[in-house]
Amino acid sequence: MYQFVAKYLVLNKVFKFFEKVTLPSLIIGLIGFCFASYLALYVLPADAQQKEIYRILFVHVPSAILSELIYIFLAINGFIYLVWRTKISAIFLNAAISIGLIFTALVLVTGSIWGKPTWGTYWVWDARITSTFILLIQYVGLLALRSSFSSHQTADQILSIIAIIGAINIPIIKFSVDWWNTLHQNASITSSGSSIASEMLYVLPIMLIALLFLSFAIFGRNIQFEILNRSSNTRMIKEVLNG
Amino acid sequence: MDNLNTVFGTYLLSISVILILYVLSYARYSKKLKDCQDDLND
Repeated sequence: MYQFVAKYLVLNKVFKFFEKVTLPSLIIGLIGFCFASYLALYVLPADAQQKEIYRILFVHVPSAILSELIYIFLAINGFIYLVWRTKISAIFLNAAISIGLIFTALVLVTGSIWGKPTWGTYWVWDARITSTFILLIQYVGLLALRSSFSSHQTADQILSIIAIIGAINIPIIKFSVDWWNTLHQNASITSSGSSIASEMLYVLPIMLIALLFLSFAIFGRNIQFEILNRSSNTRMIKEVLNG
Repeated sequence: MDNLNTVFGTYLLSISVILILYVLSYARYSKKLKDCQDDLND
């Protein structure tokens, strides 16, 4: 009885929870994105040095933060799955990979578009860009690995191990600008203050929150799919769908 | 002006990619849900 409750009832509640919150999350995220874009594109003044192109950073920086946070989330869930064997952690891990991949790709693309007029080149193999590119490969690798196993349990175990090992890249991305000479400037926001003008700074958290809501909506749909995909018998599907 | 168009394009690209991922996720989930409901009805 306990095993049934632990296995199915929790999944059932998670499924129902995401059924309720996914669409509102998408709508809030879209409104937030439009609002942050309006502020970034129309309200904020042009930068004294970079002129208009600096406005790309209001998408680039939140995407970078999310790409790293999502990987940390993967590693934490991988660790929880390996230690406690909780099925929901493996589902969370699987559901977040594609979102992390999209945001890492966005970081690289928006960074390249910003880099051409600012640095004079779309791409340079500096430490920050290279380590972020490695993060992209990690996400692609996790996605490829996931689909190469027929057993969920084996796939979950291997994905968890690789996600944990790959987390070493996150501090490398974060501190690459301090450890090596790179084209990237050092961190603009630190515990001692911010080098970004305060009237420009407030748009960043608004965009970050909007992207978080959008990510949560995608995450919810992925979780619902994963739960159904892992429901191996009709009894479990009934439990999930009918409560 | 060219740069401003580039910025607009970047914002449009970003939200398009995110929405496409949502639509793909939703389509995959909907198909699975329909399959499961069909299985239950059989």
